[in-house]
Amino acid sequence: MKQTTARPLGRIGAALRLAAVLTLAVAAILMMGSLLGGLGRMGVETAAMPVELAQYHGPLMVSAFFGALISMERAVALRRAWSLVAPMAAAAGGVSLVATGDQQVASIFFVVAGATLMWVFATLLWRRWENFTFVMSLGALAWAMGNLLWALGQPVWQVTPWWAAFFVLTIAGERLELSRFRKGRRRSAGFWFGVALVAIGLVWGLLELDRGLRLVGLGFVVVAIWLARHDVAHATIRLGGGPQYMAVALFAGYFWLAATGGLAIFYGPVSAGVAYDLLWHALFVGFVFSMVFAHAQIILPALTGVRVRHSAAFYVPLTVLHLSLILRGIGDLSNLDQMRRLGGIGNAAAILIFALVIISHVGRGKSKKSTQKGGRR
Amino acid sequence: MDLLRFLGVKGGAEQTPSEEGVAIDLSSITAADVPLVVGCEGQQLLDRLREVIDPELGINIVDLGLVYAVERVGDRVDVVLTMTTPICPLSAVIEADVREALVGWQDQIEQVRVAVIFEPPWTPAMMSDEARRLLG
Repeated sequence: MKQTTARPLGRIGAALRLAAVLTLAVAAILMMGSLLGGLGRMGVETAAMPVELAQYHGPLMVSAFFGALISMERAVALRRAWSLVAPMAAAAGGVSLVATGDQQVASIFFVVAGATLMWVFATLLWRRWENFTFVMSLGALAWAMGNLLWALGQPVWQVTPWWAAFFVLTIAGERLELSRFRKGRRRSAGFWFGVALVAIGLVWGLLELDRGLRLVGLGFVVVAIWLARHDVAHATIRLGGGPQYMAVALFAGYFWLAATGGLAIFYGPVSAGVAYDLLWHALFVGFVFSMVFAHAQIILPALTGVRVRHSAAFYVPLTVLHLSLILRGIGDLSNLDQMRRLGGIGNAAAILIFALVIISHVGRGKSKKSTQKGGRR
Repeated sequence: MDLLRFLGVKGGAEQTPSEEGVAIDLSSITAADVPLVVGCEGQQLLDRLREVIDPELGINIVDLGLVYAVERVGDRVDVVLTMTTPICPLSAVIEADVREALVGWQDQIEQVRVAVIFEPPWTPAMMSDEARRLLG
């Protein structure tokens, strides 16, 4: 009797797997809508669309889309049905926000999602304490705290540092785990120093936003430098194929993380305008989306069972992403509106191109023998 | 599946995401033994598992030290794997790749059973020299 292939989420029923796939599909649609909203905020006229997409561009991107995606990854690792509450609540929050414009209701969904993700991490840490899992749990805590602050009525521009830390700590934790593969004792004091700066800066920011945010910025710089020096990407960049592409995207992302930190130190708290646009899109586009471009071909199979081949085509959207962000940044710094808009359109185009490349690469690659690099005795 | 596990109340020591009644005694596996292979047939199966690549690192799972044991029992192959961390979402993908590498590969391999365990915990010391050279 032939063995069937194991499905993601293990023994959890096919119905739950369907719910997971639907949640991701909804989240992806919300992301696309939020992209249009982002363009609208820049003054790029697109087809008539709900005003909520522009108004809630930040919460939709951070909590509805990425909140759902990141908590889905952990739900798949945990293999417990209740952990699906996190991504589903995140997606539901996004849907309710666009459908009703009711910020209160949506924020409650996001609070539930964040709290559930924290519980997921508490369970994972209970099973096995690992320092990298702990860092990622701090990220979940930052997201939950940001959601809570937003629910309590704080404006998005004050909440954004917490949301930013969600991404930085989640990704930093994952990269810390992978850095174990490198030879020799990695001195991690610098890493922990950076994480501590971020944590202290966030808390301090509740009392004194100016000092707090600049401290967070310094923390981002320290973490970026440590990762750029110690990441396993130094080795995988030499292996060619998918690992090399991922390493390139990672290093590009670390540049933008450091740039974000530098801009936060320089500008301090900003609530709107070109400084706000530059600071946060350096992080969310330059760092976060570069990481997405790096890892989607691995994460998609893990979450949905859909395989994605690699090819050099992936470099196209990656290049468009980073070049258009540079353009956007120059436009912001020089107060050139049209250049900034062009950069923003380029960012959106990069994401669209990336989606198309993913779709066109669905399916199994050629025999692994011909693509395997190294490791043979 | 019992209700307590479904609700996630049973936690703590239980970390195995999948266990399919492999013939190998899981509790007897120690860090020093891995990978456990039986005879030259076991060695062949292990070599076949070098086809399974970790997509993040571009290195096969045998050289990464993720294969704890592999044994052929009649028309069935039992494989015991680990992941570098229990929080990795990729275990089901790696499991699927392992099955695909083995089912039907040799005559009369009809069934593949995979257990993913986290004791003993994976450490970088389990990597092969080749993997260490490539990732150092």
